[in-house]
Amino acid sequence: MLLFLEVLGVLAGAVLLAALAGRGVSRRSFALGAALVPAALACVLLGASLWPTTRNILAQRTRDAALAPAAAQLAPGHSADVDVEFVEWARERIPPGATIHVLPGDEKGFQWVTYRLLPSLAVDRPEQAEWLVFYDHEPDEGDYPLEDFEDPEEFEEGFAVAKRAE
Amino acid sequence: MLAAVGLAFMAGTAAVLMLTIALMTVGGPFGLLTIAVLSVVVAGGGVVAALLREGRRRGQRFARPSLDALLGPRPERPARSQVEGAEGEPSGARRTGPRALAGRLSADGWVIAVFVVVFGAFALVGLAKAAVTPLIAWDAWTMWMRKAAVLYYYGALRPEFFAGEVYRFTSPDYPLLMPLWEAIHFRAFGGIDSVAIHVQFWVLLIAFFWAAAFLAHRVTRPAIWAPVLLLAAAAPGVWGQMLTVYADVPMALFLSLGVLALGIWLARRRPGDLALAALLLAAAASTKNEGLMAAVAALAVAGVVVAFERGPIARGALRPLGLAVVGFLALVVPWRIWVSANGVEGAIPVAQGLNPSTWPSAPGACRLR
Repeated sequence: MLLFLEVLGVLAGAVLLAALAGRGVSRRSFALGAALVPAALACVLLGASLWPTTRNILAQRTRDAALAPAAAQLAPGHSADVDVEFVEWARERIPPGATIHVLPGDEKGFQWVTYRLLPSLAVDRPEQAEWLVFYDHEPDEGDYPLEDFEDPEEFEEGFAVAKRAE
Repeated sequence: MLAAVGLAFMAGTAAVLMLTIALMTVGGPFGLLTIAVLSVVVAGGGVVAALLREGRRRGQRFARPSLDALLGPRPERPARSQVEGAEGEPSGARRTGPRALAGRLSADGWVIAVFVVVFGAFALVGLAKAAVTPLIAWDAWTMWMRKAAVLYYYGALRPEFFAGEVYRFTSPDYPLLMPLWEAIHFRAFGGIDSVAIHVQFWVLLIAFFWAAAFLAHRVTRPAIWAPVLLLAAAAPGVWGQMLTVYADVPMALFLSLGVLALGIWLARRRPGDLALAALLLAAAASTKNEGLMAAVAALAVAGVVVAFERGPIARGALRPLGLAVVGFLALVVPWRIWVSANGVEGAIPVAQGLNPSTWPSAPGACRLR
């Protein structure tokens, strides 16, 4: 609704400008008014906002630059409030390109694990996976065929990885 | 020539990325060599088109390759006798330097100069910010960068990723222009860098405004387009959203340029403008499914405008518009065919795009922040 009113306002301004020009409202005068109104509004708004916007950008830059490069790469995970350290620990153990099956405690954890462990691709069922990843989920005999996998290696309670047995 | 660099960058990027996607859908390799070869092919195509156009202008089939032929006819220079200083000095003693240049600038020239200085400063400030911005927006990493990572690691379209039930949350049917854009830069960086990629997005934004200024200058005075473009650049909803590394603003950039070029074609009927419009609209459609809806709508409106015209101009316009639509489809369809052939399903099928119940809050999305 607001956008509609804004566009209507510009058109009304164009008609008014064309009428005030003293030659009546023709296609040409309306077109000129329709071009002048946004340009004039832009000049006013720009004058008011350009410096505050620039200051804002510079302030954000100063804040972001304080982040260490390694921490910046993991910023999405910290922002999503997931267990970043566990996933980095799992990355060191799971070879790149291995298939994984994730048993997640929540959706955020699932998405972060499957993102961060790329190029390893996630599969639907544990029977198809070379590695299992337990994210905030205690390994349970009902979750996967125990005999097909080695004992889970634990990072902390509820966070572990298990490799398919040879 | 410098004025057209932004548009050349946008058009060239669009063409190379879409050709790469088409190649990958038929099993072609993705890598820096592929990109380099396609870039040369696209640039070569541009050179050939320029020489053909210049040749036609000179009454020849093909102009002899030269800088003049590529750049086209230059504006007429004033006669020697007209080039004098304020005190009537002969042209041989013409003043040089910044003061002399300032004296020769027209009102439009002054506006353009101020625009270049202000926009240039803004571009540098934004670049400094982009270089240190961490990636924290949800969809930016879980959807777009995830796909870029798959393309980076595998150099191919992996059906087990795109058609896998486990990855359905990533909207796998969405077009791949931006993930491919990111993957190319990761290959060039030698690794995935979720901070440095912001610089590439910022460069795309700068190129857009450069291109928009070039196109807008063809239809209106700098006093009109310069403040509007500067305000758009300074809007937090534009630069801020761009630095989230979502695909929404890139889609809007290609769409805006495409619609502007299409409008210029409707006014002037130069074939090059229509070809440019088709290319950029195809790029918008290749960025997000919403871009496809918008591009189709723009072409449909152009068709309606042409259909309701009268006379030989109207009849003559239907054929090139039809060819433009064919070109648009040729660029957009390969990904759609691959998606269909590999059973890729997204959260919202493309066919549902016209169902209002699937739209997000449109007024909220359009509101300037």
